[in-house]
Amino acid sequence: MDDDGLMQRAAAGDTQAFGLIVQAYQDRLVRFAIRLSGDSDLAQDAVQEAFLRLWRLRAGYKAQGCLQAYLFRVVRNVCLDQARSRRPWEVLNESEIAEASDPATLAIGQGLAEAVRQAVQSLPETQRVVFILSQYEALTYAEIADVLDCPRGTVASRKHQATETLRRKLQLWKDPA
Amino acid sequence: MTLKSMTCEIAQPQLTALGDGELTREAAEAVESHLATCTDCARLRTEIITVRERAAAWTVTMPDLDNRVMQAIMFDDQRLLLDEMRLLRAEIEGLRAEVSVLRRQLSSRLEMPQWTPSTRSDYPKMENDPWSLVRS
Repeated sequence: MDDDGLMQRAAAGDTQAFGLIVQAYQDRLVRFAIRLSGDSDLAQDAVQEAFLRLWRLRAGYKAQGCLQAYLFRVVRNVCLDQARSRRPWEVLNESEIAEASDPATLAIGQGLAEAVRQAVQSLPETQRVVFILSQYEALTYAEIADVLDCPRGTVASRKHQATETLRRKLQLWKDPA
Repeated sequence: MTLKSMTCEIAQPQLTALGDGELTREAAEAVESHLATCTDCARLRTEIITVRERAAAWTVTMPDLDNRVMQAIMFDDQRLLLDEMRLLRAEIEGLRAEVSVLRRQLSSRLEMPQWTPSTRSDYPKMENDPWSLVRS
C-alpha cells in the first residue's frame, strides 16, 4: 500500500498504518537530521515532532503523493528552529567557525569522515540541505525542490556551489595514516 | 546546444548535475562532447567525482529509536483527551453557574425566597415555611 493509502487508514484511526509510515521514513529522517544539526538528540526530537504534526493533521490529509517532501521539510524546519534557539554559549563563535572550516585545519591530522563532516557542516544552510538530501538521501533535484518549495534550477545551482566548496576544502585533505 | 557553442563557462556549472544524472539527454551529450575536447573541464569532472566518493566516508551512527515515535503519538493522544476532559469540566462548571443564576432570577421573578429546603435531607423545617403554599 502506498503512502496515501496508509494515511487514509491512519486518518480513520488506524495506528498500525501510521506505524508503517513511521517505519518507512524514520531512519532516513533521523540520518538527515543528524547530518543537518550535528546532534543526535536534537535530530530525534525533530523527527518525533515531524511525525506528531503529521498525526495531528491526519484527518485533513489530502492525498497528493508528497508525504516524503512534507516530512523532510518539517524535520529541516524544526532542526533549523532549534539551532537558532540554542542558548548563546552553545553557539560557536565566528573564529571557531572559521577555524573549523579552514581547509588547512581540515587537511591536517584527521580522518576523512571528520574532514567531510566539518566541511559539509560549514556550508551555508541552503547549500547544506541540498547537498545532504542529494548526496546521502539520494533524492532527485525535483524531489529536493518539493522539500524546499523552490525551482529545480535553484537546487541544481546550490548543489553545484556546495560541491565546488567541498572540492576546494577537501583538496588539501591527506590521509593522516 | 551545439558542440561549437559549448564553452567551459557553460559546461562547468553543469558538471555536478551531469554526475547526478540530472541533465537531459541532449544537455548531457553536449557536455560530454565538450569534456572530450577540454582537459580543464575533464579534470574538474574527475575532481567532482572524487568529492562524491570522499563525501561517502561520512556515515552517521543511528541511535536506538525503539518505539519512541509511536509512544509519543499515544502519549499525545492521551494528553489531547485529558485536555478535552478539562475543557468539558470547565464548561460544565460554567453551565452550573449559569443555571444557578437563572434559578435565582426565576425565584425573584416569582417573588419566592432564595432559600429552598432540601427535599432529600432532614433539613429542619422553618416556621411559616413559604414553600408549603407552593406544595399544597
